[in-house]
Amino acid sequence: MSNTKSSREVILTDVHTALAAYAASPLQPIPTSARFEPRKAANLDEEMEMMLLEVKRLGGRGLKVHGRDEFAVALDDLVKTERIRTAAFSDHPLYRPYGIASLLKGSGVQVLSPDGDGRRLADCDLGITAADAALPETGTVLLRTTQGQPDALSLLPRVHLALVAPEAFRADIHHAFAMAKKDRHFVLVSGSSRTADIEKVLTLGVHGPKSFHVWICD
Amino acid sequence: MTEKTARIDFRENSRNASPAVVAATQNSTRTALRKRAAVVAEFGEERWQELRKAGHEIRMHALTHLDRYLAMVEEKVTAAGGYVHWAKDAEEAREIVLGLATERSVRSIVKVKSMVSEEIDLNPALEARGIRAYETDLGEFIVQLAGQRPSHITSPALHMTKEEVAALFCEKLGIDACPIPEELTEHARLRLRPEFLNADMGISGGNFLIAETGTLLIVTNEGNGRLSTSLPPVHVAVVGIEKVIPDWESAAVLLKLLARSVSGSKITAYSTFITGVREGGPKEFHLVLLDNGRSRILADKVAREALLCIRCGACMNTCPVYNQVGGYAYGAVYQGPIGSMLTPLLLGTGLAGGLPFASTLCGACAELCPVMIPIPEILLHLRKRFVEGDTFESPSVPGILKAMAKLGRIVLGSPTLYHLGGRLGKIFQAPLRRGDWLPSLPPPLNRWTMARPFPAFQGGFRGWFKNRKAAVKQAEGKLHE
Repeated sequence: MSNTKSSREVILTDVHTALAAYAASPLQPIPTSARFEPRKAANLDEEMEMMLLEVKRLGGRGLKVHGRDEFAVALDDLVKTERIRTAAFSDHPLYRPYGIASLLKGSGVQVLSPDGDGRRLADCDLGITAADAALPETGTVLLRTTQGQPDALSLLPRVHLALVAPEAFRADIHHAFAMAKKDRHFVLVSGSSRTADIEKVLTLGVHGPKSFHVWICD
Repeated sequence: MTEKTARIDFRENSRNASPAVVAATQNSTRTALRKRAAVVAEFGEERWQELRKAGHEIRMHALTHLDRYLAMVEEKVTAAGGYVHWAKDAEEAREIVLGLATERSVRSIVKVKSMVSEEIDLNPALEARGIRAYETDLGEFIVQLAGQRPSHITSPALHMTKEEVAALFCEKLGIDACPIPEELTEHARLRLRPEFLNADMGISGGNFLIAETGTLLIVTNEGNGRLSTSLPPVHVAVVGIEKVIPDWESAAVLLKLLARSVSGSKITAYSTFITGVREGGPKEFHLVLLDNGRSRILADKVAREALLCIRCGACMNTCPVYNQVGGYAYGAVYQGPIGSMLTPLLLGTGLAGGLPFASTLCGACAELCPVMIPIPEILLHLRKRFVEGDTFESPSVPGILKAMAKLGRIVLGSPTLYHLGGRLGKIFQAPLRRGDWLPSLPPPLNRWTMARPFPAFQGGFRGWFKNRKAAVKQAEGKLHE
């Protein structure tokens, strides 16, 4: 684009001139008045309870799952209640001992690979992600985008299940950002996709998942 | 929006506002305000005020160092494999996007709701080149189908009832749609899913640009923002230069303010953070930085605070004027109090100078504004610019009104002329007087009586004051009779 360079110069010069009073000084540090004290965490049990409550308030379902056996039962139950026929999951080392693939197959579910850009997940019923952080105040999970956990995994399937380890809990969004800010791509997910564009009536399941499940696995 | 030359006539537009639109608007804004109040109360009023102050400081710091932070964004985005384009005005921005699309033989585009895209009139330009652009936000999808413009910056179809949406879907999509929001939403999901999967390009705006890492932050609730920026091979983001914020701490504060102010949620369903290109994502990322009059606003020390806006729409929801006339009366992309500032600032007071007067200056907007923009002060500043002119623009008021205002000042400033005026008024009003009122006055005074009657001249106040004791006695006497 031949004009790009000149437009850049024009805009930056215009901005510089407009800020005449400030532009002469070097970049000032961000004032302390522009900072806000993040929330402090309560003890882990309270944080977990808050997470489950907030997920519920978002219209999702939260669950505490202890050990592989409970996980197997919960997953089979989810498959039945949500009528899951196909599923894909993020192969996170933390959840490998659960043998998610074999549990799904055991429940009669076809397992798809989430690799790549995730287009093939358009017809998938269930996407299982591993949360990199959990924010109890808002019932939010942070998902870092990787080859094995593409953005589409928590977006195209009709049901989204996020697995959260106790270590993933963060008190506030500030702490979660400190962890993921150097990533090329990540998302904060709080509930299923929603809209209130028609008469402000809250409707779950627009372009993303229609239901949202969070399981705290320890 | 910059190419439009017609003057915005708020008075005429508001007369044409249909009662149905006004009723639907009030219904929606009431709900939004109620939810917002509940979630702010949960956060704690005192903490909320601290958060607003921090939000204001962050945005002021970013604006007053904008050139440095813009250069930082460019450096970081480029280092992460993205391309940065600079657009002085709407035409240049459109040409950049059209150039990118035609070079890649793009035929179909999915779009995320973006006010900047409306501001630069992108859709008609794409259509003219034979490129189909699908608005994917449900509200935008509805207004695009209806061939309308959004009537609210965060709820584009706020003025339509579910019955109207159902009728629209029946007509345009050829389906049998019931007026149930859940069903209508499902129809939109089914209609748009293939478009997401097959689009050649995704176009978004951006809520913030984080200078520290060159990260584009997009918040959506529906998931369309994520689909449009993940699946197509090319992602183009068109973002106003004022959207830059310094760092991630700032992003944390502003995210807390934004969701609560928009819809009364603690957080939006999805916040997406995109830094350049990544493996498995779109192959190309293009960031178009748009000026389109913003650097001119920045030079105005009073008006520049209008650029702090984070587009939450709370000022519109609470505005008594917006609630009486609906969004279309503002005749432009941005409506309500924020529109009354931004539209004359972007288009000039010659075209939109009437909008700052479309306010009672009650200040409800400034009380709610999450970044504490002094909206009434800026509106007064723009009214002054419209009437008297300043270093930025010459006055736009017709000569006759200015002459009458001057005459009024002379008459009101002199007791003799004032008394004479009162006496003459009493004589001249006789043919127009109906009881205690003057229902219509000759032009140009009829601008008042078109909206409401003028009270008839009743005589001098001093005379009434002098005789009031006698009048009271007479009245009391009558009571005792």
